[in-house]
Parts: sequence; structure tokens; C-alpha cells
Amino acid sequence: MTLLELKSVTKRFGDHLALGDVNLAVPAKSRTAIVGPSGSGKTTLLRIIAGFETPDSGQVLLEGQDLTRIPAHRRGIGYVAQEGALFPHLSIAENIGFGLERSDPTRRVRVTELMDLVGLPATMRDRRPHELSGGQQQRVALARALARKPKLMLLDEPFSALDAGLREAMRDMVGEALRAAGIASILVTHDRAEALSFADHLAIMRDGALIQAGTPEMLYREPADALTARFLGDALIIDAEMEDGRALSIFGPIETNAVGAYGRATIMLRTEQIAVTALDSAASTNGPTGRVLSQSFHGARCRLVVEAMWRPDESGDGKSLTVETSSLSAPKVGAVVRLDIVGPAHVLTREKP
Amino acid sequence: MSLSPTAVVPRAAPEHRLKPRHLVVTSVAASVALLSLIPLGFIAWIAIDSGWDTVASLVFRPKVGELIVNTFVLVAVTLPIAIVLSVGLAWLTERTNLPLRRTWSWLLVAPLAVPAFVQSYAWNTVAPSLYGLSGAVLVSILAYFPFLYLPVAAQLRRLDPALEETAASLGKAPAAIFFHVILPQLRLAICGGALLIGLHLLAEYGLYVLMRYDTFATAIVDQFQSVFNGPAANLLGGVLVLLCFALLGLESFIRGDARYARIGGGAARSTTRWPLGRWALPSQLLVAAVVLFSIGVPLYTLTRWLVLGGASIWRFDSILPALGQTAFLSLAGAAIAIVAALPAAWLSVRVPSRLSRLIEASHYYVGALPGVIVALALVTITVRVALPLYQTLATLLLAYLLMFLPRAMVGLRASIAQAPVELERAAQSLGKPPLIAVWQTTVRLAAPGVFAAAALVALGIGNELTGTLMLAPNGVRTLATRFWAHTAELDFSSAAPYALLMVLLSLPLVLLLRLEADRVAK
Repeated sequence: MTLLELKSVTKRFGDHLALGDVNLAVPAKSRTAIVGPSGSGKTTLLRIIAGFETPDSGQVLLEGQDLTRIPAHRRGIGYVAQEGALFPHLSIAENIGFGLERSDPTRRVRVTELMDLVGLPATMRDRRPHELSGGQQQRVALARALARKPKLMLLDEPFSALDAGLREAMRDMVGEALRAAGIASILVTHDRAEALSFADHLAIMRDGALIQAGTPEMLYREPADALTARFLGDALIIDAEMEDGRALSIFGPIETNAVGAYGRATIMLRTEQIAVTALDSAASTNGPTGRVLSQSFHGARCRLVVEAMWRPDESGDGKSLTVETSSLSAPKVGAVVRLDIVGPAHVLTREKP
Repeated sequence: MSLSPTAVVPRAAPEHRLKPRHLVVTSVAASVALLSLIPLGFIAWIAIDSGWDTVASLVFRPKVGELIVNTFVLVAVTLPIAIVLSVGLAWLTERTNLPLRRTWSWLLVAPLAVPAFVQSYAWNTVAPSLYGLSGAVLVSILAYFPFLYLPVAAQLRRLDPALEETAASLGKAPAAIFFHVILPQLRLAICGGALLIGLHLLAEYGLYVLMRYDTFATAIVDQFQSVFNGPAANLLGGVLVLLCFALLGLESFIRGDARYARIGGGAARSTTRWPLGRWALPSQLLVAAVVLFSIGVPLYTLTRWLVLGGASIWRFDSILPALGQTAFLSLAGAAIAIVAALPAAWLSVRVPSRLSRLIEASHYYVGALPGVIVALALVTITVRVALPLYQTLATLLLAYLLMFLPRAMVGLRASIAQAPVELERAAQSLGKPPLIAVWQTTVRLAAPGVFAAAALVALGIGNELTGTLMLAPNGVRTLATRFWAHTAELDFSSAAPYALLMVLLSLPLVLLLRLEADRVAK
């Protein structure tokens, strides 16, 4: 079931097009990450969902109800700002209870429950925000937003101010708290690892446009363009000639996911799709080969830069690619290797023949 | 290179021993601090010297009760109105889409260029029937509200918009956000501004004489002029000092020790402005009315008297000497105040210790004392102890020093803090000899702030009336005292040129204070 739906949302700041015709659907109880470089419009999108900005055109629908003209305070959408935005004049307990009615008799109990839920010791009730560490401040911000039991929680780079070790622990804690409460969430981030580990849905944004949305696996295997492909992981992007769905490239014919296609194309292979085997003698294979130009050791894995060659005795055409292999059997620099492609390549762009 | 251990870790170990070279600076600063204790010592000595019976007979009488009621009513009526008005104006210019808001925000600071007694003179002319409490309250608000508007507007500019957005996401309507999120964070700015206005209400003389409203300051000057140096004036001064301290205590009680700084770093996003909608016209009218009353009325009055007076009021044989003497007193006073405040300011930034904090505090407290107290103290002490100094230039300049020491101190401290000692060391490590290093880093960086502080002191002296009236040697007539003499003779036309000159000379004050408020807010 779709919880939140954005329909052709457009927003300009003066001459600058911050968002151009963005469409997005967020399923109930899902965890969506909006990823993109700074200036891509991801924060503007989040602020429009929250109601802090009004779109120039388009609609924001929550459970089918049009929110576009409804002010932020009547939307019932939770929001956790970048640095928590705790009220400096209120104690921790007052911060968490801020959104609850003052007359609510269960208020005190609720605050205690929430502090427990986000892992804050009860002794912190009467502390002031500035006495807390960055991670603790973010816990308070989350508890405060959870207090009103929103259907949707917006997280605006909430972990970016924390240091690396804490960031992961916080991410897991937030994910777990939201899952337990059955609240759908949208996380805005520029950090790939954070997006991949937090979300079950990804939306890639660039230059005010939503490039692609889907599950992390789908986006990783079938990215919409080269930038998205590289953003989500190491990728080898090469030109090829398509013939009945097979790509003819420096690796020879490769199976692709474009069944029956013809014409010039750009195809993508993930690094882990290329298997490297050291050859005993140069002449013992017909498949694509390469020569190891350099090797760098990364513990369990080893990274090789390989110069691709059509045939082992020929000199290369200068194209090099980065591949990974187990460090146990890593070929030495200068060795000639066989390159085997595992699985189909993804066709990024294709010219009509 | 002077890499003494004290200089290396001044912040990590603030309570360290003083080095010999600091000893000289410390003793100079301590001497200035002792000097600044003169007015307080004087009050204490008066109380003890007079004996309980005299104190009781002079203090516990209906006249004093009346003055206390008057002062209390003035403060209790003026401050709430000034606070509501200033917060409203600051909100309109900083957080709404009010048309012309940039222009308005400058015009709302401009009343600082009109000395309070000139504001009062203007209203006397326009509305002669306005006097007593209502007149005093109105003119006080118009003359002093920028002291609240400036810090509140600056604080509104620096508020983190994420707080308001978060409150909205927690279901709070705009009005609730204003009262529960924004207003609490303006508390420090409101307390500071209200205290400043309160102290002015207690200290101001000229305004309330023209508005025919008796306060302690007017009563003390009256006593002084009729009886001269009698115990009555001195003891009234004692009660006034107690009132000032009561105000300081009240402010510190209300302010509490809460911290309202932005938590965490990062650049705050610029705030969104509320659309005024159908409130646009009423808001525009309110702001226009305040500007019209606080600037328009004085300008209109001055123009009117200048036109009525024609060329005959421009008696340059008395205007030019007054201008010259004012300029001399202002510049000399500013130079002395800066030099006197320098050791304590340097100590408080570079060698913080319990002693330097104590010295700093004594530099600040004199600012809370009305000029009339400083003048009374110096008159009494010179008459009784050092008669040759009575009514001399030296005593007048000492009075200015005491009155404006805090202004000099604030500016100097901020400018020295702008030039971290690390820069001096960096310059030395790049091969500059110590003196050149100090010159090219600290002096270079602190100079603009020092000049700004000196200018603030000079402008303050240029408009000083009460202390100058009581202490000026024969023949010394400043713009303010000349203006006052003509006004007292009801020769409003002849007073106009002096008022105009004071307003013109005070214009830079507006600019400096506005920039200062913006800088502090950053």
C-alpha cells in the first residue's frame, strides 16, 4: 500500500530549479533513502513533504489525502533535523514531551517509555541539551518525534554530525526503533553506505530531478545511468556493439539483460562480475585476457589494475580496468590473466540501429 | 621567542601564577579598578559618616517615598510597553515580509542619535500639554526603545530555524511556536535591553525635568543646585544606588543561568518570513508611527525652530567655542578611557585569573551608576579632600572616565579577543621580531575595534549633560550645557542649533551600535 505519494512536484528558488517534476511513491512501513550530492534537491524535497516549503506545482498525498496546502503543524509527520534541533531552554524530558498535550495524564509515563526506547538513561530527564553528547542529542530528537506516533518520519541527514563509529550504532538504533513502532521513514543522505544499510527503498536525486527509485538490489544491478552506477559501487563501463542481445566488446561477446537488442551501446559490469585467473602460458586461452599493471593489497581482497588485451601475444589498447580478487591467489604484476565474465552485463544506453 | 608556559596554555590553565611582566599590567589595572570604586566608597562613607539619625531623618520622609513611588511607577509602566513594542517591531522587520523592512530596521535604530533631553524638548514643543507620568513614559519609550530593539532583532536573526520547523512538525501552531520556542530564546536579549533602559530611566535628568516628572536624578540635581553638597543630596544618591542594584539583582534573577546558545555548529539556514497578508497595512502603519514619533517629531521640531529663529540664532561666537570644547572633551575623555581600560581588557583576555575577573567586574559596575552619583562623589571628595581639584578639567575628565569605562572595556575586550595570541606566535615563527609581530597581528586586528570603542565613548561624552552641569569648570560650555541653558530660559529657538549639532554628531553612534549588535549576534 502506498503511504506517501508525490505527484510532479516542482519548486524554484528564483532562477534556480530546485525540483523539477518529481514523482515518488513511498510504501507503508518502508524505509526509503533519498540519496544525492549536495544541491541535488533532496533536502528541498524532504522540506516539502514536511510542509516547511510549498511546492510551486504538484501534489503531496499522504494516504490519498492532499497535504499540499496543509501547514506543517497539522500534517502529523515526524521530523528529525540534522543536528537534532533540541530546544535549548527546555530539559530533556520537556523536549521529549513537547509535542504531547500538557494536560495529558500519561505524559510522564510516555516520556519515560520513549527515553527507554531510544536508550537514554532515566537520570538524564532533567539535563539540558548542551550537557549531552551529539549522539545523545539525536536520541532525544528521535524520541521527541516518536512521541506523537507519526505515520511517517523524516530524517534529514541525522547522523552526519556524528563520528564514524557512533554513526553506525545510531543508524541501527533508529532503524530498529522505527521498525518496532511500525513507522515508515524517509532518510535524506549523501552517504552511500548509510543509504544502503538503512533503506529498503532508494531514490537517487541529481540536479533537482529524481533519477531512479527502487530497491537497493535493483538499483545496484540495473542503474539508470553511468553516474548512478558508479555512485552505488565500483563499475566497469565500456562501449559495445549489440547483436541479438549480446554485447561485442573488448571482452568479446557478453550476455546482457537487453534481450534481442542491436546497435551501439554502453554496458556496465560490476567489478565482482569479472573473475581473474592467472595463465600458465600465454597461448592457452581464446577468451579475453589482460596483463596486471599494478596490485594493491586490502587484506582478504586484492585490487588489480589490468590492461585488457584481445589476444595474449598482442600489446594492449591502453584500456585498463580495476578488478578484485582473493589475496590468496592474486596474480603478480606483469602476469597475464584470463578474464571471465560472470552473469549478464547491464545495458546503460543504446543507440537505435 | 617568548614561549613561556603561561602564554602557551592560557585557556587550559586559567588559574596560574602571574609572571613579573604581568605584574606591572595587573597593578595598573588594579589601580583603575580602585579608582572605579570611588563612587561606591563615597556612598558607603556618606552613610557611615552621617550617622543613623541623620540617615533616618533624611531618608525616611514623605518626599523620598514619593520619589520611590514615582521611580517605581515610571519603570513599571515604561518597561513592559517598551518590551512588547520592541519585540513586535523586531519580529516585523526580521521575520515577516513587511515591505521596506531593511529601511525600517535602520530607522528604528536612528532614535539613538537623538539625546533623550532633545527628544523631550521636541515633544514639549509639539504637545505642550503632555507632561507628568504619561509624557515621561512616552518620551522614555521613544528615546530608549532601540536599546531593546537592537539586541532582540539581532537575536531573532540568529535563531536556528530548525527549532521552529521541528516545533511545527510536533503539531504546534504558529502562535504556540512564538510563545514556547521563540520568546524563551529572546529572554537574554530582552533582559539585557530592559536592564539598560531601566538604568537610563533611573539616571536620566534632562528628559524628566522637561516632562515635569520628579525622579531621584532630578531631585538630586535640584538639591545639589540649591544647597550644594548637602547631606540630603548625598543620601538621596545612596537610595538611588540601592535602586540601581535592586534593578541589577532583579535582572540577574529573571535571566537565571540558562543557556540559549545554538547547540552544535554548522551554518544556520536563513529563516523563512511569514507572509503578513491582511496584516500588512496595520503593521506598516505601526512601524511608520513609531518612526514618525521617535524621529519625525524631533526633526520637525528642530526644523521649525531653526526656520522660526532664522539666521539670528546662529550665534557662532558661542556655538563654535561650544563645539570646540565638546570636541576636545570627547576626544580627550575617549583617549583617557581607552588607555585606562586597556590593561584590564588585555588581562581579562590574555591572562584570565580570578583577580583579573574581579578587576574586570569593577570596571563594568560603574556603568550601572547614574552620572549624577559619579558627579556627587567627585564634588564631595574634591571639596573635602583635594580642594584644588574642585571644578577643574581633571575632575571632569575623571568623571567621564568613570562613566564611560564600561563602554571602553566592552569594545576593547572584544577587539583583543579578535586577535588570538597564536597569530603573534605564528608571526614570530615566521621570523618577525616580537614587537613587529605584535604590531602586524594583534594591533592590526584590534585597531578597528579600538577606534570603534573610542568613538562610542566620545559620542557618549558629547551628549553628556548631568555630570557636566555639576562638574564643569567655569567657562566650560559644551553643546549639551548650552542647549540646556537656552531650554531652561524657554528660548527653544536658540537651543535648536545645539540640538541639531548633537543629533548630527550622534549619527555615527547609530551605525556603530547597529554594527556592534550584529557582530555580537554572530
